[in-house]
Amino acid sequence: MSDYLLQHLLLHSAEKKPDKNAVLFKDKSVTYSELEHQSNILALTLQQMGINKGDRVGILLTKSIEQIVALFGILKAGAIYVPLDSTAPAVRVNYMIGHCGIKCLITTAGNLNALLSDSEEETVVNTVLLFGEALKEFPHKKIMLKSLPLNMKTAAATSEYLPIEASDTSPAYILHTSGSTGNPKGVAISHRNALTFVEMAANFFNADENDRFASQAPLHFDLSVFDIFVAVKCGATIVLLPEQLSTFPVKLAEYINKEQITVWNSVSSVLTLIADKGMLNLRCFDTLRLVHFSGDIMPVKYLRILTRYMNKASFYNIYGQTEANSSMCYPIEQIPDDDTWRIPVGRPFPNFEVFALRDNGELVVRPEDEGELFISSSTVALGYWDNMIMTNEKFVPDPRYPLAKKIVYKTGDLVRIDRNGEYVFTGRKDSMIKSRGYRVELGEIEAVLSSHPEIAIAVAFSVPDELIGNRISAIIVPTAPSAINKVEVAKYCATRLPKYMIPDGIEIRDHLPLTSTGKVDRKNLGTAVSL
Amino acid sequence: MSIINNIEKYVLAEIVGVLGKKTIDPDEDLLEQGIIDSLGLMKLITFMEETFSMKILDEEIIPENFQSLNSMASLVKLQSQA
Repeated sequence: MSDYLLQHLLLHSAEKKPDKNAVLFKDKSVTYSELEHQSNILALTLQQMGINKGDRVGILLTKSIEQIVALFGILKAGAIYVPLDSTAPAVRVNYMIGHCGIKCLITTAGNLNALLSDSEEETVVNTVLLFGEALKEFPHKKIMLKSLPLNMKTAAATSEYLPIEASDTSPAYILHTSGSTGNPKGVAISHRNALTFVEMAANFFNADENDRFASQAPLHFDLSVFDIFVAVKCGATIVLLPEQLSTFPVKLAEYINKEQITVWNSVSSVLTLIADKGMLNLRCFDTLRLVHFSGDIMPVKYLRILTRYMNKASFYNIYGQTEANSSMCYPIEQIPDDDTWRIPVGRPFPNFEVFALRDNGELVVRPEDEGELFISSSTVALGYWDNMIMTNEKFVPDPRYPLAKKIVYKTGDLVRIDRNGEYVFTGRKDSMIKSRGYRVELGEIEAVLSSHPEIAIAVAFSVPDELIGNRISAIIVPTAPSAINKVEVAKYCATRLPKYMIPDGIEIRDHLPLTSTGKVDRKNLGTAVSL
Repeated sequence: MSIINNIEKYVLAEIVGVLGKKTIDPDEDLLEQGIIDSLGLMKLITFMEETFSMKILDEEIIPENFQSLNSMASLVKLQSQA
């Protein structure tokens, strides 16, 4: 059985393993046949609400079985799913709704109320599908509201949804990442982009039906593609991790142990917290066979602790971006005694080709060369939603074959090749940083700060941090002395930026340090702000 | 200043994202609302250790001790009695 579209992964596992648990969340579970059935009902409901092929449907839900039902239901209806961060400010969520032209929002009463009450302007969505109890009072007359029961196990479908003819090159989902111009960018990923990665990863990591995948990353983060679709392809079980537990290292370690997780996939900062404060000596990790870490640099001392306690697991440093999924990995074998060792990002996965070009256009081949990394694979995304300029900048014709219509992703990451032939990350061409595994464009923070009427100019910069990769600081110059204070700045940011982008340290000055050429002296900002 | 007021003041001023809030109910669930996330929690622990001259052990970093202002105050009181 071939999987041409992402929803076929579920269809085939439901046929092969109907009674196997597909998703577990707290004390709830659904089997593969139930997940198939419930997502069919959702697809039918969406179609009855007027959702057509190619329409965008937002998912504004926290971790829950309903989130997975929603995802497959949307795909079956032929629509594109757009996960939205329920902890992000309403302004940002509304921007994504407007920018993607989201036609329908799948959410709960609580999340919808929070969105509507925090919105400065009227939200642009006009159709909402609510999981759980219907709202008793709903003053927003322009929004069409429909409810679905939380537990659809027993619900009988009155009719079947209409199967959709679709190309595997159609977009399946849109994931947002930080954008330097002040608004997030939506990366449009096709069924084929995702399936190419999912099929490769399932084989490469020998995933099978006995695996229990931890789902820690939020749905709007591209690590969720591995957790959900690789698990569903193999007929394995997804164990959703409640968001609250992610905050508590002891609870994370307990969860891996109690839930008998076999595959863990998260950003490095979550694992460093587990290593630092998880009390690993109290737990048994014998079922854990695979640990992926990505996003930021994993300090070697924490990796050593993790490998000591999780001694049955293979550890991989995973490298990738939303725009091309994970393209390279480095298997951890021997950890050197040197704590300053930077773990390489390794070599490409079997269906990827990567190469780096120096500033003069020559290929990076020698260990002393440094260049920008390009990625070639059928996982390379379709581009940025409704942003042709940015798409053409980053998704470019392969510079090695200028006459062929072959597109590669230009990462902006600087790399070199070490003496063993492994790629090593050395920095960025622009001012993007990673904090807690999230990509952060410092320009986006600066654009938001500068939009405040009392702020004349603002600079955001990063300070390296062992546990979370980077902390963010900002220096602002107000339009007039005492025009604004730090708390007001922080609150202004909180209404426009997700939490991981809000500066930890804010300093107010009457001018910025400048270089001799009159530009902001970024090199001398780092020590200026106390965190 | 009482322990609760002291923690409340810190959360309101430093744990950003507390939008438009001037006060926090002592029993308000700060975890469920996502007001305290992992980075906020680590900052809060440092603040509590410095302000109340205490050491919060790894096993004490659990939801029950950080759910609300009241539960944090209980943790401080428990340690001061020990």
